[in-house]
Amino acid sequence: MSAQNITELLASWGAGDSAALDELLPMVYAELRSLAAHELRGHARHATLQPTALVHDVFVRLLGAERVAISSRKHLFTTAAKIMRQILVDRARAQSREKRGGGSWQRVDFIEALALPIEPNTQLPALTEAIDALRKLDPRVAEIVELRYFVGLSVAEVAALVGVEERTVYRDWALARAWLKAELER
Amino acid sequence: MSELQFARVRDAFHSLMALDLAARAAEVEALRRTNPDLHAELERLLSHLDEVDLLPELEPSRLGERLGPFELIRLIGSGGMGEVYEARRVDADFEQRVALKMIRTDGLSAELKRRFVRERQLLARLTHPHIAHLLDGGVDAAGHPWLALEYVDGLSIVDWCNAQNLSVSARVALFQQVCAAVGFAHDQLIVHRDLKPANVLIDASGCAKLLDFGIAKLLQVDEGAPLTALNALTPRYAAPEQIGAQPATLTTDVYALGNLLFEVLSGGSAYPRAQSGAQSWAAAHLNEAPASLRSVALNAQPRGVNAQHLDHRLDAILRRALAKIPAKRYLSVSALSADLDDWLQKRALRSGAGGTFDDARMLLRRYRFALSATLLLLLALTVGLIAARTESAAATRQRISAERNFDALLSVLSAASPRDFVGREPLASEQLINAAQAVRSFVEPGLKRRALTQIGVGLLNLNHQAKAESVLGEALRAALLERAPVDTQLELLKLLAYSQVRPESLDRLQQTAAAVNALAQLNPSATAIEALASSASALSSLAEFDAADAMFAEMDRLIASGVRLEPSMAENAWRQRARSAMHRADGDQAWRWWQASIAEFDLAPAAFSELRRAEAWFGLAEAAALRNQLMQARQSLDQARPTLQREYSTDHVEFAAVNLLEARIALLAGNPAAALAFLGAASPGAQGHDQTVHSLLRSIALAELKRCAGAKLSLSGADTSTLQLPREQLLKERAKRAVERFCPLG
Repeated sequence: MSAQNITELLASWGAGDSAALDELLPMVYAELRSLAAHELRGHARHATLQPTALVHDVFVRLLGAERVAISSRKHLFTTAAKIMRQILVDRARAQSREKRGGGSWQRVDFIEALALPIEPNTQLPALTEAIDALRKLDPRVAEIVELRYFVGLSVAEVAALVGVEERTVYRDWALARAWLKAELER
Repeated sequence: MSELQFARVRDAFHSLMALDLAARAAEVEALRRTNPDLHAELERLLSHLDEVDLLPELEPSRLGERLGPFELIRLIGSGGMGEVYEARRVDADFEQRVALKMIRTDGLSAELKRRFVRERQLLARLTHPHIAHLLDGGVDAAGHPWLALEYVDGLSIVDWCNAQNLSVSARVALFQQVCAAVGFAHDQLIVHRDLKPANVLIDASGCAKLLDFGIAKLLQVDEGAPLTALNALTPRYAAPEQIGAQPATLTTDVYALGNLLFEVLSGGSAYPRAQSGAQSWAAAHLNEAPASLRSVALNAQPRGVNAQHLDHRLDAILRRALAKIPAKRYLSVSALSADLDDWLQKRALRSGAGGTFDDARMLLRRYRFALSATLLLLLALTVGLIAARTESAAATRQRISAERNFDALLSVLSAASPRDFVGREPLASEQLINAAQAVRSFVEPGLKRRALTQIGVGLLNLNHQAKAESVLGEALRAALLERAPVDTQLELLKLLAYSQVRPESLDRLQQTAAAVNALAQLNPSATAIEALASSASALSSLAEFDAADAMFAEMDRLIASGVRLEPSMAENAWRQRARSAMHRADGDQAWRWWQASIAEFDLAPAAFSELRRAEAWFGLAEAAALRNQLMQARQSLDQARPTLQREYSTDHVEFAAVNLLEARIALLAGNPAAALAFLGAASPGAQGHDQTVHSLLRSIALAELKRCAGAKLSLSGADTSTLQLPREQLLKERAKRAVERFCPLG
């Protein structure tokens, strides 16, 4: 995707074309992911984190702020997680309003496109509520879940970001998923 | 839950994840006692745990990657062993779609690579219409193995059945395809080890395809190692021995098939507590009994299934397949399949898993009638006829008739399951009456007679005299048709007499007695003596003392003429005379005959059951009470009581008699309050005569306690319209005197 294309997309999105966001977001994610991978390999340790222009611009518009102050690497990703979560939930609600009959829940394109590890047939609004409930009990475990679900970070990336061992992340991830499943089945 | 509590849960969870499945289950189980709250929460979490989450990850996207002759097109999903991609062949001039499974291990050593190749070749030879064919396999650049399987576009068997609204029978029929596939693989000595709905797909044409055969074995690095999450076990569908880290065998697949069938038929797991999270899957497989199909189906309501069709025979099949101990399951898939076929054809299950001997034995244990040994013998006889090797025309006819009778009997027994009677205790008499109905259609008179006789005995034991009389009457007619020997007829007459001890059947009893007399002349045998004794006793119960005496005299004559009596027959004769004497209120005679009866026990101890002895002691106690001999009455009753309590349930009619005797003895001992207590216990089962006796004893006790209103009420309530046996007349006199003495006014 060329720089020009990106600019055009940003422009049309700014002009109110929400479909443009659909095209932009995967790119944003790709950027974020490569940032995370970059992080992981330890190259950027000494440099201050500068999100790319794209990421910055998208964030600005999504958050409705003039400038996004990213205080830390972790902040960048957790912010991204929040944004993405909101987008997904909004889309889910819109889609369910459109759907008339019953039948199985359609996977949101994004989830598939971005290879986010959210199961098909997940009720997103319910999921996010459950995650909020989990956050009240253990903010760190909830954070791990959101970074993986909504930013699609790998276990290794999350471990590096949050500063714990990979084994811990695996187990917290498994715990969180089991807990959420149990919550959603109530 | 608070943050602190969650922190504890998290800590516990983390330590559990470091253990293998069996140790994990044990640790959790240990918590049940020490910390129930934590235990409950952990069970809940474990039941929702997806083991995949704990496995190391592969690189995110591999689309477009080349593996062997295939190119990965899209990610289908991620299973227990790794991701599954749809791939296509690129190096050939034909289109082929495959399902490509990436297998997560930490990379294979050279030895394991060799083994992998070898096993793969074995699996590739599994060609069967219902098995997804293994096409190819290899190891990628990073050393991770992959397998290419025939691509199946379909739904899991559970989803398919619901989408098609399949009925119970249709589901079972579909399942037979699965059994065929697994059976085929077993013949090649390949065990699946991971049978679950996701591995059984049904394509658009309704054809079943099993995936992932033997792959679990491919992955097991070390046969003896304990199973950890990495060894690709799905807890919900694991067999008990797999959880316990035992090697998987053919019966492991049988268990898995049972689990699968249960879900297909009922829409839910055989272990609902684990499904709802109240228990871990491991604990359920190891300890919990499977639920009934119907109960789960009524809850889950799978589409197209009528829960009424999920009968106890299917439950029996599933119980056997899901037995915890492998040796108690179907030992092969074809055995399971055969029973399912029998179920579909509405035949008796050939394995005997349910509805034949098992149900019969179960019924019998509960209801304790004499039907058991003799009817089983009868069945054995018919089976014996079926098994006849050389067949003449007569033998063939016999065999065909025996088979038909056998089927009729089996279907009756199989229908007579307590479970058919929803929400209430089935009356054993109902079972027997049903059986009699079925037996009426029997072809061979001898068989019919024998079956009806046994049913009659059962009904007698349950005190259903009227029904017993009708059944035994039919048996007698069959005996005549059969030209049965005289002894057989006498046997039937003896039983018939027992059933005719009712005021309304006096005429018929007299006819029976006359027949007995006549036949006894013709055939002076031990059976004749028995028949004489029983008719006499019956007559004396109806106060026909003269007729009874005549028959007893005839009996004495036969004994004197040298007819040999077995101890049990002799005892029976003395017993009948003792009873007759009691009816006449002749305590001394009764005492004498009961003692004779007891003497027989010493002559041949092995011939008598505990119950029989107890009944004799009981009789002796009654006689002693009649003679006002308190000590002897007490001692004799003490001898009888333990056995009677054990053998009869407390609302059995016989037991009511025990309480009545206790009441009499209490009155003898001058303890009317105790008597009342015993009478209070007696009333539910009391009928007819006993009811009269009950009321009379009650009035005596109340009068002695000066509770005059109650005493008078009881006295007037004593049903004076029933047969006035001398014994009861005496008691009535006594009651009147007691009331007059203690309650003089009004």
